[in-house]
Amino acid sequence: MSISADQVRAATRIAAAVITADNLPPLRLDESAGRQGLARRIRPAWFAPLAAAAAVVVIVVGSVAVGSWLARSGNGQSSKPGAVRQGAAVGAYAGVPAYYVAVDNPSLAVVRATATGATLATITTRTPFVGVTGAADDQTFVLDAQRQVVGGTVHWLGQPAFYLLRLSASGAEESFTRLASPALPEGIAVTGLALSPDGSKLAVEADSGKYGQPGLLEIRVYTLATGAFRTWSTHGSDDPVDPSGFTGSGVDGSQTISWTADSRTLAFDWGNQSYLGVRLLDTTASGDDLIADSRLAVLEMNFKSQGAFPVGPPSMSKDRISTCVTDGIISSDGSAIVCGYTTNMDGRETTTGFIRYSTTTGKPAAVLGLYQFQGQPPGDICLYWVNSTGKILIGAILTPSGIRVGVISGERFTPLPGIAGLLGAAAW
Amino acid sequence: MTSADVAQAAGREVTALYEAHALSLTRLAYVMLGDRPAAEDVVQEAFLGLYKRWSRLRDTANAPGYLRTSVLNGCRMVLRSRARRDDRTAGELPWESAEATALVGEEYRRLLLAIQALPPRQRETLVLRYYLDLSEEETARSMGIRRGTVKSATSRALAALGQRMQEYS
Repeated sequence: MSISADQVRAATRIAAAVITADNLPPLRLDESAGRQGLARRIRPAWFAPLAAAAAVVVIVVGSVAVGSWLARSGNGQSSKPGAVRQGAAVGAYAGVPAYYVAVDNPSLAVVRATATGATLATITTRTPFVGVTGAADDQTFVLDAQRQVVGGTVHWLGQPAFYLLRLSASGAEESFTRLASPALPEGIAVTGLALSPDGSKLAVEADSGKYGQPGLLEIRVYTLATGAFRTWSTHGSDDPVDPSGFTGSGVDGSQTISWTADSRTLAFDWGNQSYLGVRLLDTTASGDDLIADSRLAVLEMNFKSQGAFPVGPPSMSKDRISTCVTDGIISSDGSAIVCGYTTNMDGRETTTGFIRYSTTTGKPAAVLGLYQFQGQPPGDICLYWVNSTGKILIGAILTPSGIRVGVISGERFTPLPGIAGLLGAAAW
Repeated sequence: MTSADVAQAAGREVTALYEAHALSLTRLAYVMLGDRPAAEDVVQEAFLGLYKRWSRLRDTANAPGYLRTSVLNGCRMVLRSRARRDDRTAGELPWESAEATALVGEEYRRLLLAIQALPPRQRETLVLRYYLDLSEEETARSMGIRRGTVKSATSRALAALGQRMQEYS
């Protein structure tokens, strides 16, 4: 079933019409008017009486034994913050990179040690950083900077700028230089980027539209040494309501496109009104059509079939999982694609976790970091990095006490020090 | 002017803004939260904040924009608080009444429920794009995210709504 913008418009406006001018409270310009009220009035929403109807919605992860890494009380009440099933020290996880680069704020990127959270280097910019990606050596990163929206009137300014950051073996800044390529046209919005594991190529996911004219999405792969590039484009409608396709997760900070270790295959999310899934593009093969020249590796959701919910992994044989909220990241060995999901039933119970799909079968193979709690999600789940097999990952998970970033392996979670809340763009 | 005079003038200005914008802002908060008392509190908080900062505003013409941003921030705070609540109990809710049900209709009631079940960013994107009819650029600016993110969040949200409505049917 497809939902149109007009249906959303109508539903929300009918809901809003319940509030009328004659039943608004008077303005109170004293301290008791606002914050005290906010603290007092955390109440269920208008959807609460629909709990029974909502019970059919989205997700049933029936068995907690599947792997809640936060302790749960026996009566199904929410987990308590601090009850985390602590994972091993960060350094005990094989393959977790020693450093990462995070965009702390639009004018500042920082290099931090993964295990300690220590800041090793800071890079400032006058043009806002909006994305970052890293090679497999843990010492080579690319940041993209673009002034996208400014001032009282929205404008798109300037050409996207890309900077190569090289770190020393100890994580200190060795060099930071602007790249001559990619040379994207002015006004193009970069929506994702991925440096190949060998550091030789930069994949850029971009919206080709200019200001006020949303365009179709495309992926360009640049050879950094020469500036040569290839482009794969989509065709058809760019209307998000009736798309011929779209990429991107809608979660800033999450990696949106990713490479396999051989620096040949690129994974990207794709959706239209028929399905959602992750496609694989062989960047060494011929062709320039992003869809026709790629193949569907993982089908997250088929909207055309009845019972569209995907079936969970074997350990959850009778349970269902929901479509991903983040883009899928492919493991460097190409065997798995991992994505994060969040669902909320009747506005009260949130289930969150990361699904590891097999690229061999296209089916879910496991759920990592599964967690259920009473209440609404405090934000968006995020996925930053997966190891070579997709069994260890770094992501932002949701808990009743907020968002936490850490290393996840099965049911175990190890929070990363020095991170409060959600990171902006970040790359390991 | 004495400080009391300044405060009095600010009070008049903010009260006038309340009369002009409280309805639309409360409706926005209500669509975001689905909870009328919380929506009213968020709006009160936004106006109180404006009142306190009135003398420091560089351009009072920007006050409506400031208020909308404050309301959206307040809604996000409420949603985060909800996630931390352990023992939420049902209160008297607008949609529980037969009158409200008749007003909205079952199909829209289900759609509203599905919208509320979306991840926060997807929900906010839909509200800004289709309830407020903001452009992709304006939505990106309001949420502090990229335009591409707005587009993909919108698409994913609509796809998720279709999925959920299919389950209802």
